[in-house]
Amino acid sequence: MSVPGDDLAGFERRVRAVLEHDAGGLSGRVRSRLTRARHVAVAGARARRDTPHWRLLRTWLPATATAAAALAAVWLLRPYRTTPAPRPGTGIVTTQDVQLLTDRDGLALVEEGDGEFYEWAVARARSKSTSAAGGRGPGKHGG
Amino acid sequence: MDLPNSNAQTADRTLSLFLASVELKAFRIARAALRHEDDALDAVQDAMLHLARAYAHRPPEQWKPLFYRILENRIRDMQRRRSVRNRVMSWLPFTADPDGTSDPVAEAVSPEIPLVRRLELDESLAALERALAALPRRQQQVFLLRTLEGLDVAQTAHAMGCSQGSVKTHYFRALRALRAQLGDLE
Repeated sequence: MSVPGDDLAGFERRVRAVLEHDAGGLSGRVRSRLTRARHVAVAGARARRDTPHWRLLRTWLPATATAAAALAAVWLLRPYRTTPAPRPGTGIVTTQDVQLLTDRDGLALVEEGDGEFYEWAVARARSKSTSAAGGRGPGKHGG
Repeated sequence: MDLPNSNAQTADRTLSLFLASVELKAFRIARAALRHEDDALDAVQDAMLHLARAYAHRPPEQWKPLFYRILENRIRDMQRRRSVRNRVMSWLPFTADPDGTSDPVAEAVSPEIPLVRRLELDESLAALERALAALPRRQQQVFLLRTLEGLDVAQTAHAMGCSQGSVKTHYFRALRALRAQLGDLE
């Protein structure tokens, strides 16, 4: 059955009024027991607050928090550990890479357009790897 | 001045005022669900004690949904236990009626309520209680938490352990069912 919204709102108000009326009409026995229950509950909260466990927690909590904060600060501010250099081609930029990039001598060679040094270096590296693999002597390249 | 002692007294007073503000409504909600006055009183007392021991250190604005959540759990436990007890008792040949020993003096209505007004509303109240008792439990609890206790949708959802959408659905269905059953409640 559909009920118009206005009717429902009016009905809701009437229900609330009836319920509130009843809340004031409870018997003395019920009120007395509820009051007693409230006092017992408050006493329970007080007893809980006064237990040695809680008192200990309340006493030591600030000290523990301070110690934890100090430990965290020490851990965060500790010096970085040096890590082994990564293998070439792993894509990780290291201090060695930065040194190479900022090397003035290397830059001068590039600016002079002298590619001969690099051709030599590459050929030398190839000959070394070939000799290591084949057990033969160094290549024909010289200084 | 003993500051910690003063703080403890303030905390006790705040808790006591909160419990006083919810105890009557909580009792009525529990009684509607359990349909037994002493069981309802036990449920409210347990909920008060649990809140005081476990959650009194929380901010007071969190107490109301927590309290009704505890009460809801307690009511559910008692209903389960009662259902088991009833099954066991049904096998016994003689069963004492626990409700047959009421004390008329103790049951006397609080004198500060005007008698004429009470008589006017008693009939409506009895009809409403019958209709509420016939509602599914979730609808009944949501309806009472919203209407009697005045919890908002979010607080009711927290107290009932369900979604806000469920609260809205339960509430609307309860309202519609009561309206269909009671007509114009006067």
